[in-house]
Amino acid sequence: MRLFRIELKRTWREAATIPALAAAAVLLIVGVFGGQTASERLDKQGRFLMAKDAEKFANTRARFESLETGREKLPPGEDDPRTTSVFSLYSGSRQAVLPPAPLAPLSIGQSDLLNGVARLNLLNRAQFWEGRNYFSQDIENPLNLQVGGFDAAFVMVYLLPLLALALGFGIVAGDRDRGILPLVLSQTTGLAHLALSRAAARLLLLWGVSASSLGIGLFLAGVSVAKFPGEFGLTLFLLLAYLAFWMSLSIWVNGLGRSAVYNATVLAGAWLTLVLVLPSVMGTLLGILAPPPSRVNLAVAARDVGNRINAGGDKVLERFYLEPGHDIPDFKQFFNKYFAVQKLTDRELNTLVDAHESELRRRQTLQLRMAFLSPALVLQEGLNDIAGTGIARHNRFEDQALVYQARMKELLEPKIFKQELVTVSDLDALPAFEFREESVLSMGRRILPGAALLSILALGFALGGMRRLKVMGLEA
Amino acid sequence: MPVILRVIAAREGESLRRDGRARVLGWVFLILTLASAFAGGRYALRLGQERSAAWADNRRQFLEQGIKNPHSAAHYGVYAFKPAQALAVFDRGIEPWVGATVWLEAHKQNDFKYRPAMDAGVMQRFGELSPAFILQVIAPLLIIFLSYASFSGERESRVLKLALSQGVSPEILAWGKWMGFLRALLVWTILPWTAAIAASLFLAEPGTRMDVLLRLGWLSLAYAFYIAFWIAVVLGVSARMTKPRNTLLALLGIWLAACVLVPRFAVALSKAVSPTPLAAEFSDQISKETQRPDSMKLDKANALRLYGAKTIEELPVSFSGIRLIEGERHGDQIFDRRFSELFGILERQRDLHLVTGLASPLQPLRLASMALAGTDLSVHRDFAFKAEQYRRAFIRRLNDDVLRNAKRQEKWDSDYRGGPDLWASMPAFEYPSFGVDHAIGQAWRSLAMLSAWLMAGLWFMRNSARRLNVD
Repeated sequence: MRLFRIELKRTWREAATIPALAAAAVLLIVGVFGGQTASERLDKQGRFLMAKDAEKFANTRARFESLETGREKLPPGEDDPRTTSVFSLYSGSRQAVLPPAPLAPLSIGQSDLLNGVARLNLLNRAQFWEGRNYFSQDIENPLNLQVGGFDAAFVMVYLLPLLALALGFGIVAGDRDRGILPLVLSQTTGLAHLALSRAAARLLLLWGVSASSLGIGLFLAGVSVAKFPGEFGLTLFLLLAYLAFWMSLSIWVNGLGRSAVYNATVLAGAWLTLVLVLPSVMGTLLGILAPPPSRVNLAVAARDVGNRINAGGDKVLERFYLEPGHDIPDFKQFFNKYFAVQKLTDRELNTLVDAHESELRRRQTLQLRMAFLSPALVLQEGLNDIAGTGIARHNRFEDQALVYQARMKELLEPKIFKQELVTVSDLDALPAFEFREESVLSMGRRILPGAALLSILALGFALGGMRRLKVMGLEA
Repeated sequence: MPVILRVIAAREGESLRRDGRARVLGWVFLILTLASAFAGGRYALRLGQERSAAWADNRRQFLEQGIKNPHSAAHYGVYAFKPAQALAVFDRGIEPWVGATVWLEAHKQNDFKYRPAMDAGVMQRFGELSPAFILQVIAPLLIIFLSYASFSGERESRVLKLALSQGVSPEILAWGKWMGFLRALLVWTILPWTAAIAASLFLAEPGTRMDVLLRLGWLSLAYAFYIAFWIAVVLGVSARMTKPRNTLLALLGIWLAACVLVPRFAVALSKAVSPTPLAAEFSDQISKETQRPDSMKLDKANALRLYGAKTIEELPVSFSGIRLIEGERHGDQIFDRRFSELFGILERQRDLHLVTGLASPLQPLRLASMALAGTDLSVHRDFAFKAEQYRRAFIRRLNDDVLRNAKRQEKWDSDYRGGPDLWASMPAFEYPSFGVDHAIGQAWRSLAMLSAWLMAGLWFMRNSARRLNVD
């Protein structure tokens, strides 16, 4: 412990330490701002849509109320807006918006690619994400999507390991290159102990500065981390495990007994392989082993189903109306036919869409497992999860939106086919969609295995390096 | 070429061949590039097959939609699928990040749907393993690791003093080393380059193969400039620095800035200077502007005046058709204005990416590479434009049919039906892609910037060599 304290002070006094730590702090704070700008945009978009949705709903409700109470009389020839089919297609559709998570400024993640808005109505499932006018996703320049944004996750995944390696590549080799290793060893308990103390001191400084910078950055971005101790704690733990992995790798490489230049080359190569090349190679492998199911093919198949049902025409519809619950065979009305076709299409499509979704989710699970092969992917996936910009939160959103849509269908579809009017109490039975966040505990269950793996690897490299250094110390 | 230059170049090549580290790195580079060419070929083939099958299915579906009102058919619409570019084998450019298809329907100019990257997952954000990625990001590192000690290492081992004592000028030595490394790098890239050429030619439409070859010629030139620049910079830094360790750290710093930080900075800059509108606000604006509150009255008055009729029933054409055509005309004006503003913003952002090319040669190379591969923003914009022109002509044909054949009445004629003959008379959408001249037109600024980087790199190398300190 004494040696650790000495090394902590010594590291702090080294010429390169303060610039390196200052660079980490500045980059992280700038990164948090980058993430904050992206999450503000999402938030602004969501608020805009929800405000429009609330306004439309309030107007609809007010009009239905005045029609119900008789304050307003419909002019002759005007369709009743409470007709369920008309309502379901126009004023009755609702917006489901995935709001940014509290720690969204940490990582832009996949939020610029995944659609966080769904229009909920009675259309078939293939049109679930396509109900919005003109744009089904936010407008982003593909050039920017290709490169990715500058956020705190980028700094943590790409740049902090470089700083860790810059602080760690010469922890033993530096003294040996200068020829002062025997002198240093004469004052300490052993080379392994010395390396461990040095690495721990550097790790603690880098992690401490990074953690504080993240806290400050989030505070400046208007996020109080005290309100989300679980999420912030998970972030810091994951970051500590990641930095410990890189610092331990430095101990191990120092244990090879080569020069500082050699160590720097090997560690730079490791960084390139693990951070840059491996994720990209794994992405390609995943694309070959499990290509994502084609949305284009799904859309084509959905159209085929729609065509077939439409072509069946009145006979198909007649059969539909003869089923229990559809006892008014008035299928001549345009909207009734339209919704009957949607419902029949949905039935056939469910198998297709379910197969598409389960294939997609199987692929996502495989990807999460493959991510364990690269520390950079473990951290990126974890940060995306914590920031709520990963696939897990998006899947939750999709599931909840589908449940809402099912409730909507349950309430409105029978009314369409029985030609009943929508009442104010029906409207009140469908409050605005609200996304329910998952508990930190359940999020932690996904993140902790990755953090544990990084910790085990860190421990393994540190122990392996120390064993070699112990032998080297005896020789020295 | 002076004999001495050839001798030095040959010596560098020989020492690379003997260097075990270089052999390992060379093999890794070769395997990665070949794997990326294979992955690129597979991607382009799959994309091409999927889109051409979808294109055929889509046409069949439109023809088999049954008997219905032509306006219902206009709402049923068609999909336009962007054909895969043969050179996506080499550089996928923005293709995975833009939608593959656009739904062409009445009243609306829709956005593109189904970005392939949407389902690709987080790994894709770390960069796609394509030959372009390998050459843009990994090749400079290979150059750094192979040649960082070229001068500083030889200085440390006193080889440099020995070489110069034989009367070779430091400048000639630098040029010789540059040529030696360039030749070695070019030899290493021949095999993957040939694989990429073969795959591109295999995937190209028969009539476009010469165009693909010309594009590949320009791409080769652009990448050769880039590689030559990096060799010059590495040799220049190596000549200036006294210790190999410092040389390596400085070069890794330069690489990090040029290949990792500047591109991200360009994204932040483009978003800050020229932000794109929010999709929700943009859509809302269009929805508001496309509304025509008094359209019924206006269209009626205009139609009666134009045809000199007193009542709608006296018109020689269907009023429903007039209403549809007027609605489309009104919408088209708004779409032209709004979408051209939007693409203007996207192109300004692209130009800002090019401006950041002053800080990194990767930026102009990326833009030139995409443009020459036909996977850049300009091709996407052109496809969007041509698909929209097709949509307008397509909807106009259907509306014209309503205009000619629906009942002469004020009320919408829902009884009028079109059928297979009408659907079959609608031409299918075909996209004639740009030729190499357009690609060069798009890439020339980037290529000029890349040439300037090469000149600057060579100048730096020559100057560093002139100041070479042998001790």
